[in-house]
Amino acid sequence: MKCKNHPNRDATHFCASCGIPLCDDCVEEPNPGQFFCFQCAMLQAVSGAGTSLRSKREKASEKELEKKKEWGPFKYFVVVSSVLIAVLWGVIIFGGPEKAPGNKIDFAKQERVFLFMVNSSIKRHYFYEGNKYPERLDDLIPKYMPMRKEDIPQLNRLSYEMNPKTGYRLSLANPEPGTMNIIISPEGIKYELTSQEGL
Amino acid sequence: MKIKRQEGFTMVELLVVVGITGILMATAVPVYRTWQGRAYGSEAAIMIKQILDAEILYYLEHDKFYPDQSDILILHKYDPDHANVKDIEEKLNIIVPTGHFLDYTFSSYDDEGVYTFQLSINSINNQFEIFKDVTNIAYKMDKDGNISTFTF
Repeated sequence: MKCKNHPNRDATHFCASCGIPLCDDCVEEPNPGQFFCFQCAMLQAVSGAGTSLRSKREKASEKELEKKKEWGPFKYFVVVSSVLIAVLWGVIIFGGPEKAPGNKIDFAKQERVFLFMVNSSIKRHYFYEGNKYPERLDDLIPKYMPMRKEDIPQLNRLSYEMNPKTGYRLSLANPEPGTMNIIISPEGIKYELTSQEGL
Repeated sequence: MKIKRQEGFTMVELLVVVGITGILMATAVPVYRTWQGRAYGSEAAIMIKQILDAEILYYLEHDKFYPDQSDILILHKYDPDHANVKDIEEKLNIIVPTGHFLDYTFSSYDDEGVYTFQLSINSINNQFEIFKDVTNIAYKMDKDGNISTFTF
């Protein structure tokens, strides 16, 4: 059989699409083992490009769907919760109470300030514990007067006793001789001059 | 091509959701306490300024602090009609906000010859810090308006 384009040459292949006989010079092999004439090879190439574009579009849309699936409600919940937890911990770590003005009390120098702070706690004890004064100053700790363990012995600077008539009597235990001692009771504040030997 | 949609959650996802919800709830408590502590500090700062200014004005007018040689409590539980609240508001011309968080004790006394006003502040049952590491705080002021602050 002769080639369709060259009648003086023997055909070596047939076009896989239109079936015409082709010589070695006329045959096209776009893919290994696939033989086409020039026209059919061109048509195949154009058709293949269309398929390729379509498949690319399909792949892209599939990826988009996958992405949407991946960022579903669960993932959003995890991300939003993580951010919320981070913000809340930020509040806990950095949003605490402000630094206090002033310094820690010097119990020895500021006995009277301490006396009135303790008196405030006694009165608060009375109110919150059903009109009952504390039996000892230690009873105020920690609910009505939190103190560091090392500061608790400072309560010995004060003299406290319950008084059935007036309620209680609070004063400085060892005021400096010759100074005025302060005596606090529910009736009010009284002053008493300490003798040179002490109260 | 028909895409099969995801329906429901897996066991792992549900466990993660429950875990995160637990962490969020566990975080909410310290956050609440933190904000409460900060609110105490803010209230204390506002009230201290108001009270000390009012006491100075009262001293200039009456030549004594209020209450004179005595003490008076304003507890957070007192309602606005409580006699102590009314007394303080009337005498010092200040407003004690309703729903305030702190307990205040107003005292005036003679501190070794220096006439002194002292304001002691405590948070409710001392459960919360008013300022950082502080649940007891006192402001001491003399008639010249010199203020000292003490904590323990």
